Amino acid sequence: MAKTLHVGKLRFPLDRRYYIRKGAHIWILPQKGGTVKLGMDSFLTENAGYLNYISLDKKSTVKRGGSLGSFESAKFVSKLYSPVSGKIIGINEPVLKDPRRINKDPYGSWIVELQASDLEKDLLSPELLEEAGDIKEWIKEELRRAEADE
Amino acid sequence: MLFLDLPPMHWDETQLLYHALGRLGIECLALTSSIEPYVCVGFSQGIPVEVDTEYCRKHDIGVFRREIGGGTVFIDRGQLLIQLVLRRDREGMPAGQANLFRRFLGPVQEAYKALGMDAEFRPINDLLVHGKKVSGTGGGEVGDCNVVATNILLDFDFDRMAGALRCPSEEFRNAVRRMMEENLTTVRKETGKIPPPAGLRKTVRERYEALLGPMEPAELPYQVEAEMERIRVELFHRRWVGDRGAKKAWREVKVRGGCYVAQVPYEGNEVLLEVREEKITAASVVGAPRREKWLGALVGQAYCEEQVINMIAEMAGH
Repeated sequence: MAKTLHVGKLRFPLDRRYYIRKGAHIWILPQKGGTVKLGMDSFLTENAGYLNYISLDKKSTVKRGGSLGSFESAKFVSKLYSPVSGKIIGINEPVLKDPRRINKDPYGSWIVELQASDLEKDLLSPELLEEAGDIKEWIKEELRRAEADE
Repeated sequence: MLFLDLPPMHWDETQLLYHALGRLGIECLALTSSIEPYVCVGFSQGIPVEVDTEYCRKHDIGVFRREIGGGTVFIDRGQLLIQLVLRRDREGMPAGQANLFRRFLGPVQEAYKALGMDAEFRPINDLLVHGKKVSGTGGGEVGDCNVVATNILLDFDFDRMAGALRCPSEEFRNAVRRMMEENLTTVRKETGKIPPPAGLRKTVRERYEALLGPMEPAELPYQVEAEMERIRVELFHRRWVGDRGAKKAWREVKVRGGCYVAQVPYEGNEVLLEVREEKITAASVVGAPRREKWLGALVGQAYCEEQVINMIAEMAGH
C-alpha cells in the first residue's frame, strides 16, 4: 500500500505523480517497461461531481500537454490532458462504459495506458509533482480557488 | 474583452459562434438570439437518442450537437442567448467545474432580479424562480478558453420542445410536456410581458462588467466569421452528428435538477416513471389499460439508476 497524503477529505497516494496544468488534475503511475497509466485525482472527482461521459479522441499517439479526449461532469466538458508523450496501448473499457467508477475509486480507475516515448524527459517537467510537500501546497491553492466562490 | 451585441442570427451560427471564439482564444461576452427554432444536444448526448429528427424536419427545426456540456435544449426567438468566453489562464478563474457556473451565472441571476423576478442559483447550474427553471446552461473547455453558454427564457414553446424530443411512447411525451409546464417558467409567465431587448441586453452587459471589468463593444470580427465557417464542417460531420453519446440503460429526460421522466424496460414491458426532487412520484406500465397495484410501492422511492431495475423486478415479481 502506497503512502498517502491527506488534505482534508482529499487523498493523494504518493506512488504516482500529479499533473498541475490548470484544471487538469491527472495522475500518472509509471509501470514496468516504460509505460504509464493515467487517471483523475480526487480533487477533480470531489469538485466536479459525477462523471457521466468520457470520450477518447480517435488517435493512437499523444504529445505531452496534448488532449487524449474529453469528459463531462457537472454539465461541464473538460479536456483530458496527457502529461507525457507516447502511444496509447491500453484503454480501460469498463471505466469508459461507467465513468462513475472514477468517482468511487479515482486511483484504482485508470483510463488510458501509454507507452511513453521520452518518459525520463517528461518526468522532469515542473508541471508533474511527486513530493508530498509540493502536492499539498498545490492542492491548498486549488481548494482556495474553489472555495472562493462558495 | 469584447462585447458582441449581435442581432438575431441563423440557428447554426448561434452555436458556431462560441465554438469559434473559444478556439481563437478571444475573450468575449456575446448576446444574440436565433432567427429559426432548433434543438441543441450536449456533448455527452447523441442526436439519434435525444431528438425526433423526423418531427424536426417536418417543422423546420434545426438540430445541433455542441461540444460543451448540459442537456437537450430547445431554442428559438424567445430566448436571449448569453455566451461567455474566458481564457482559462485568466486571473481569478475558479477551480472546479461546478464553481464556474456559480460565479458566471451570477450576472444573469441579477438581470432576472432587475426584471422583478427573484431568481436563485441552485447547484449545479440552474437558475430558478419560485422553484421553476428559467435558463438552460452548459459549459466546457473550447480551445484555451472556458465557455459558459446560457440564456434568459423570455418565452417558451412547450409543445414544440416536447414534439422535438425522441420519446419511446406518447405517455412519455405527455409526461415530459406536463413536467416541463410544472418546472419551467419564463419572463412572460412571471411578469406578464417581454421587456424591450435593448434594455435587457444593457442590463446583462452591466452585470457582467461589474464582475469582469469594462468590455469593448465590437462588430463580429471577420476572423471569427471565417473560423465559424471552418468548424462548421467538423460540427456537422456525420461522425459527430451520428455519435450516440453516453450509453444509458433507458430513455430519460431531465426536466431540471432532480426532476426526470424515465421509461424503464422490464420483462417485455416498460414502466413510465415521473421523478420529482430525486424521488419517484408516479409510476405506470406503458400501454396498460389499468394501474397495477405493485406500482404504488415504487412511489416515494429514491430514483437511483443502479437500483431502479432491481426494484422493479423485485416488486413486479411479488
